[in-house]
Amino acid sequence: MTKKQTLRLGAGSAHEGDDLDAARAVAERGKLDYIVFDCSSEKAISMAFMRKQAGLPAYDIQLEPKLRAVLPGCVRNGTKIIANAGALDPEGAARLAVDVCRDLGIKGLKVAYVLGGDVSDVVRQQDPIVRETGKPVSALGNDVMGALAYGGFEAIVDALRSGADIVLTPRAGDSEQFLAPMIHEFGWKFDDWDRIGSGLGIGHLLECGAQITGGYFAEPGLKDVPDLHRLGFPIGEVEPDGSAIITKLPGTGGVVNEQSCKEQLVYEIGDPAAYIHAPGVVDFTTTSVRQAGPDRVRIAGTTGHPRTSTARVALAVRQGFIGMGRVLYGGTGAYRKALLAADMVGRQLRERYGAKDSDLRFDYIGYNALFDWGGDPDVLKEIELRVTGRFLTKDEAQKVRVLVSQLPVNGPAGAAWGRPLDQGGVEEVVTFYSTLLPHKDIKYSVHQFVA
Amino acid sequence: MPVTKLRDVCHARSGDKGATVNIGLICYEPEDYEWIREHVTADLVLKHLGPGVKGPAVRYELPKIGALNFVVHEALDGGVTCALMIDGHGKGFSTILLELEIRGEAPPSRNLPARGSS
Repeated sequence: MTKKQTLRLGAGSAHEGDDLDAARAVAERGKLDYIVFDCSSEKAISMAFMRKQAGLPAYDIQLEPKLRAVLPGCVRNGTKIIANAGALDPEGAARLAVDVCRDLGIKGLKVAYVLGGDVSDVVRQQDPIVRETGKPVSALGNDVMGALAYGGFEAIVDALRSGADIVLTPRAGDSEQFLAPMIHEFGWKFDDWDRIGSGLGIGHLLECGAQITGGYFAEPGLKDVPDLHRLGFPIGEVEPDGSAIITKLPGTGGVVNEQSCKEQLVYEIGDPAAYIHAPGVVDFTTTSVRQAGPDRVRIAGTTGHPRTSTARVALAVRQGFIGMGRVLYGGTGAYRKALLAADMVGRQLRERYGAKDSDLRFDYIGYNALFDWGGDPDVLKEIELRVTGRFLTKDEAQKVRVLVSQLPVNGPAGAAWGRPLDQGGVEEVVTFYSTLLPHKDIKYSVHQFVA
Repeated sequence: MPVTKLRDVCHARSGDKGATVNIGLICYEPEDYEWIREHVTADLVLKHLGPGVKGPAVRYELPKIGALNFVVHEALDGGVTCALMIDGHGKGFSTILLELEIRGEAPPSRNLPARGSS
C-alpha cells in the first residue's frame, strides 16, 4: 500500500441530531478522504437502551437522514464514512445503510459493521466495581439495563484494511474514530504512543464539529463570528507525523483561529497531561496551536502515553421518571408570585405524593414573553417558574405537570400557561454509571454487507 | 484597588463528563498566563460557583496555550441524563466563571495601550 502524504478528515456531526446541510456541504465540496460522524451522546445511548426494551431499532434513528445527506457526495469523491451509529444494533444500522444505498441507486459499496461493544454478559459474569458507587454492578439489581463499551478502533482499522466504504461501530470513542484512518493510511503502529496521542488529539479537536469553527464561541463585541447561520464543518489536513492543519469548508460561515482551537482543546478534558482514551493516553501539555493562514490553524507537538489496561464501559441504569411543569408570571412582583406558586406546588407534591426536597427543583427564568415591558432590561418583569421532580413511577411524575396546569385557576394572580409551557411533562430516565473491563475481555469482530 | 473581571482578559469553554463539569480558562494574551495562575485558584473557582456545586475542584495547567483547566466534581446534579438543573451539559459554566472579579494588581495586558481604547 502506498502511504498517504496528507489525509483529509472531515467531521459530519458532533451529535446524533446535528446540521445535515453542513454535513452535505462538506461531503460534496470538502475533497475528503473520510467523513466521521459522532452519533453517540449519553442521551442517544440512553434512548437506544429504551428503544431496545420497547422492541424498536436500537441504533441511531437519525442515521438514515445523515446517510442520505452525504452518500451522493461521498460516492462521487471516494470518501469513506465512519460512524459510531450502531449502538446496541450495529447490524441493523448496516442493513439500513444497504437499504439507503439501494434506494439512492448506489451499487457495490462495502458496508462494514462492528459487533462486540454490547458487553452486558461480560459485566454480568465479572461483576466489576461501579466507579460512582464503589460497589459491584450486581448491587444495582434489576435497574441495570445493559453495558456498552467505548472502543473498537482496531476493528475500524481492520474494516478499512478489508476495503470497507462505510464502517458502523457500536460506540467507538469520538476521537478514536478519527485515529483509525490515520493508523490505516499512514501505517502507524498501535504502540507508537506519540503518534497515537497526536492522532487522538486531532480527533478530539474535530469530533465536536462546528465547535472548532465558530460554534459555541461567539460573544458579541469580544469574539465575533461571521455568518453563524451557515457554519462550515471542520476539516483536518493530517500529516504522517501526527501534526495537522485545522480548517473549514471554504465559502461557509464561521471562523477557525487560535482561540476557537484552544477552546475545543480544553473541552471536556480532565488532566490535560493524561487524557485517557481506549487506544492510548493524550498529553496536551506539549501541544502548540498556531495560526497558519486565514481559517487555518496548525496543531503540532502533541505527545502520548501507553494505553491503560482497561476500557471504560457505560452501564445503563433505570432511575425512574422526571416530571416537569412551566408557568409564567408578569409585572411588578412577578418573582414573588412565582415564589408563591412554587411554594404551593412544592407543598402539594410533598404532602400528596411524598416528594422529597432533594428530588424537587424550582427555577426562575424570564424576560419578555408576556409583554414588552420597556425600561431597564436588567430589571426583571417576568418570571417563568419551572418545576422539575424525580419520581419512581410515571404516574407520580405526571402530577408535576397536572399541579402546575392548575395554577392559572388555583394559584397566584395572572399566570400564563400557553405553548410551549403546556407541552411535555414526563421523561423516563436512563442514566449511566461507569465501570472498567480489561481490553482483552472485550472482543470486537468485523462483518460486512455489500450494497 | 483595581478590579479585573476575568471576561476582560480570558475566554472560556465548559463541558460535562457525567456529574463533573470542566471549565477551560484561556488568556487572550499569553503574557497574562502567570497572572491567572497566581490569582485563579481551584478553591476560588469552587467558591464562585456557589452552593449548588459540591466539588472538589482540581486545577490543571496548560502553559503552552496559556490556559488553566478546572475540573469540578459533583457539579451537574447527577449528569445530563438525570439532572433536574437546566444546564445539565454544563455549557453555561464558562460564562459563570468569566464573571469572577479579581481584586489586586491588574494583569500585564491591561497595562498595555495596544488593547482597545478603554
